[in-house]
Formats: sequence, structure tokens, C-alpha cells
Amino acid sequence: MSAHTVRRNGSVLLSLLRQEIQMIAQYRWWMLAMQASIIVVPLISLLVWRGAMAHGADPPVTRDYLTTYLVLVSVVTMLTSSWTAKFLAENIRLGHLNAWLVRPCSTHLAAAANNLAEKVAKLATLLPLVVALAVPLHRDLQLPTDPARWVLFLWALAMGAAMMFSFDIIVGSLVFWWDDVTAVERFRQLAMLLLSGAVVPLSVMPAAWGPFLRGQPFGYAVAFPIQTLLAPQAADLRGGLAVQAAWVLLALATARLVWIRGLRRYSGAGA
Amino acid sequence: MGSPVPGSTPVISASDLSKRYDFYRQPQGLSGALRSLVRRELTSVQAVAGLDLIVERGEMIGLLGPNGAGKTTIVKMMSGLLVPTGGNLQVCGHRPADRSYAFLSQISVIFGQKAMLWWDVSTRESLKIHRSMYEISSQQFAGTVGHLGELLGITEILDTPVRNLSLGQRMRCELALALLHRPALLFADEPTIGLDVEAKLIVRSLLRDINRSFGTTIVLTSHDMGDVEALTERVVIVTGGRATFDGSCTDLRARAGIPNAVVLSYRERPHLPPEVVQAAVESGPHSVRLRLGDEPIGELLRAATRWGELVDFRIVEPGLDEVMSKMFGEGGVRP
Repeated sequence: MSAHTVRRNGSVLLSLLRQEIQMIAQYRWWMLAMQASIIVVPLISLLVWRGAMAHGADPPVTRDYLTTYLVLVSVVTMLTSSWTAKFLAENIRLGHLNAWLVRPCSTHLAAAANNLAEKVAKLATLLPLVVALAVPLHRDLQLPTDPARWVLFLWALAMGAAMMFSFDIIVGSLVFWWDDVTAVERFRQLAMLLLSGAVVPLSVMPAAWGPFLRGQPFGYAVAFPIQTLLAPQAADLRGGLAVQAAWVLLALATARLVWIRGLRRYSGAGA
Repeated sequence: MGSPVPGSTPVISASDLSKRYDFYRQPQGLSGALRSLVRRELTSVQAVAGLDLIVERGEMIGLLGPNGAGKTTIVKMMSGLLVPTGGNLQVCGHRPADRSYAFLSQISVIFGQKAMLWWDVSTRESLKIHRSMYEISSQQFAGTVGHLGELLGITEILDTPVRNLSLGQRMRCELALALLHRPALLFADEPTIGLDVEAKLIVRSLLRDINRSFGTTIVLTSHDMGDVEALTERVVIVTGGRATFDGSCTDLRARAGIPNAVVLSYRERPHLPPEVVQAAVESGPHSVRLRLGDEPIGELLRAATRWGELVDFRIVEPGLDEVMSKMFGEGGVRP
């Protein structure tokens, strides 16, 4: 891709972002309700874990670690999540992609703009809720003060988001071959729920699962970015960054391949 | 109507173009559905078979055919949406299936049944996105939006959210979006579908103006023969995935071989003999339409004066609807 193409795509992305934000602004109550629901799952986990520890449970991590992890998890899950698969599959199946394919612009640029714009808006509504949750727990929160750790956290977040977006394109594009990808999407959501650390921190899972949990991709979307802030071991961090980068590259390459191959099968249903 | 630019490379050049769709047959009934869980039957449909077509720059052609004839598939291949299964296709000097920037920035598509405008924002916002996509300078953008606003009569509604526009207004705004980057080739697929008579006339007039003003080549697909008659000089009829007729509307009428008709208007209800009532193509309270045969017109008029007080008569060509119905029925033959 030439520098000129990158500049043009950047300009289109900015225009689409501006427009997405304008549209989101029209649905502000939906946004607030959505964020309130997002924070409920980690809040329940937090209360369950703290209750269990108060009654003598002995997890392999400290109470401070768990509290900080579960306060951060809703923000991280939201920032790395993607919701394109369902819409992409529907657009392909019903032929709505036609309107995009005749334009000199990637279809995925619109989905990326929607993803980014919604995240900006969601962050604006989610952060106050997280702060409200953190205030009563501030004594148990341990966040680093080193800016380098926060830069690393942002990098891991961006990589996690890119990976999840690519997974979405892969799953959505499968509809070029299959009529319905709902089941695949459900499996992915389930895997994400169990293996990303969004509900239960991976560090409290059985030690024997360690090698599997470190190799699978979903943990690099939620647990790993939080791990960059919480007492990382230098070796673990380097290894984690390398595995995350490898998953991102693999996901991007697969998404591109599946998309290009799939487009050859597109039938553009309807007019 | 714009005329083709002589000596220039054709805008569309298709030779032996074909497209086959493969899909699994859906068996009938519950038992069929259960059987298909174990074994599915792959079937193929040849939507386009050996199409040859040349469209010159500045032409305005009508691509017509009955449902399932393959015309939409042809347009989809020409606009890069579908990959042909055989033959050669060059549009604006490019292979459409490659979907290169150079190709996509030269074409535009209006889907009468699918919106290109973003629904929740104003037309101006949609135009701004296209400005970035097609790399239009600020100066050119302002000039073109001003010109199109005037031409299409949409200056006042550019800042209205698209969802609040009437269908006629939305179609005009769709046209503005499609023309912002001054495409060399415009595919207009059912551009007047769902519009009232006045809005249809406006859209037709606009397409004519665009063809004249910008020299834009227009490929029109429509089931509305009024659109075709009003806009195109050249008609390509597609049946069974092939071009079975390629010529002017006059040639098409001649090929159909339907004689002209005479419309007789009376001051009061005429007293028509039973054989005339039976032969009438159409009859109203004060008029009757008869197919002209071999008999001299003078003789017919003399007879017509005996049926009532004749106040007017007109000789009319067969309507394109009638012609198409006959052509589709016969399958048509390439002249």
C-alpha cells in the first residue's frame, strides 16, 4: 500500500469517524444503558471474589491484584471488543455490501470507523461508571505510576483490538461459503468469555492450564493488556508481547485471505 | 441525448462474457429438507452466456429484459461486484473484478432500491465522505455541490437528514452523490422505482441533462418503458443471458412487427359494430383504439364517421411495453 493510499484511507476514516460520532450522538441513552450493563459482570465477579476471600478462600493472587483487575476489566473488554461479524455477515448475505463495493474505499474502513467512534463514545460514558466503582475500593487499587507501563498498556490494547477486529472479519466473511455463521459467532463469544479473562482472571485458573492459556489468542485481548499494568515479569512481558504480535499478524493475514477469496464468491443478492 | 465520441476507446467492451451461479438446490417438503441434511444437490444456473457488447463514450443505453434474463448480473459484473466465470470484460479501460481505485473512481451506481446515502445524517455529510474517497479538492467540491444543487434543485435540502426526505427528494440527492466525482460511467438501476409521475419526469430530465452536460455514459436498467423511451436511443435486450437485440427503439418496433394504431375520439359514446368492438385494442367511453391493418386509412375514417360524431383521430406507434412483451414472448433475435 503506497503512502498516498494510506493518506487517502486516513482521510476517509476521519470523515467516517466524524459522521459516526454525529450518528451516535443521536442515540445517547442507548449508549449509557449499554455501558451500565457492561460493568455489571465484572462487578458481580468482584463482589463474589471479595466475599469468597473474606470467608477464607485463598486464590493464587492478592486481593489488591483481583480488585484492580476486575475494576479495569470492563474498560479493557470494551476497548478491545468488536461487533462487526454479525453486521458484515448480514450485509454479505443480503447483498447490502453492493453499496460499498462500488466505492473506491475498503468496506472494512467503515466498520473500523464505527468501531472506533463507538469506543470513544462508550469510553466517555463508561469511565465515570468505573470511577464510581473505584472510589469505594481505592485502598485496594494498585496502578503503576511509570508512564512507560501505560504506553505498553495502550500498545497491548491496540494490538488486542486489531486482533479482535480481524477475528470478526474472518467470522463474518465465512458467510461467503455458509448461509449462517451464527453458531461460529456464538462459539467465538463463548471462547472469548471463558478464555479472555473477562469474567475470571486467567491467573486464578488452574496452574496446569498455564501453557494452553498462554498460547491461545483470547487472553491477549483482555488479560494480557491488564497484565502489562499489574506486576509484570520482564520475561513474561517480552514473551507475551511477541505472542500477541504473532496472533495479530496471523489474524490480519487470515482476514485478508478469507475476504479476498470470499469476494470471488459474492453474489450481490438483490439489486 | 449525448452522442458517442467517435474514435475513442469504448467505455464498455464485453466479449463472450459469461457468469454461472452454483448453489445447493432446496428440496421440497420436510422429507426433502431432512434428506438434504445428509446429501445436498449442487446445481448451476447460467445467468449470462456469451454476451458481446460495446458501449461508446457518451452513449445512453437501455439494458432491458424480463426478470431472470441476466441484466442485473451483467451490470454487477460491469461494476465490479461479481467476478465473471468466462469471457473478457473491460470497463473504462480496466478489469472491473480487480476493483482498482482507478476503475472505481470512474464509475458510479444508482440502485433505485438501495440507498447509497447515509440514512441518519444529511446529504451534505454523505457528500463530504465521498469528497475524501474520491480525493476532490475543496474548490472543486464547492463548485460541483453548487452546480448539482442547482441542477437537481436540492440546495435547500442538503442539510436535512436523509431519513426526513421524501422519496423523490432522496432520489435527487442520490443522484448528487453519484455524480459528485464526475464519473465517466453511470449505472442507473431502476432509478425511478417507486417515484410518482412528477418525480419520474424530474429524474429522467436530470439523467438527460447529466448525459449532455458532463458527457457521462449511462447504462439504464429499468422495467419502466417510459424511462427507456424518454432516455435511450439504443436498447439492448437481454434474454437467457444473451443480447438478443441491439439497436434503436425504432428498429425494435420494426423488429416486433406490431402495426401502428389509430385512436378515434368522439363527442359522445360511439355506436361501434360488433366486429370493431372485438378488434379494438383499447376502448373508452368516447374513444376507441384500433390496430391499423392493410386497408387504406381513408376507408377506415369514412367508416369511423358513421359510428358517431368524430372529433379527432391520431395515429400512434405501438408502446414499448407492447413491443417488449412481444419480444420477450418470442425470445427475440439479434438483427
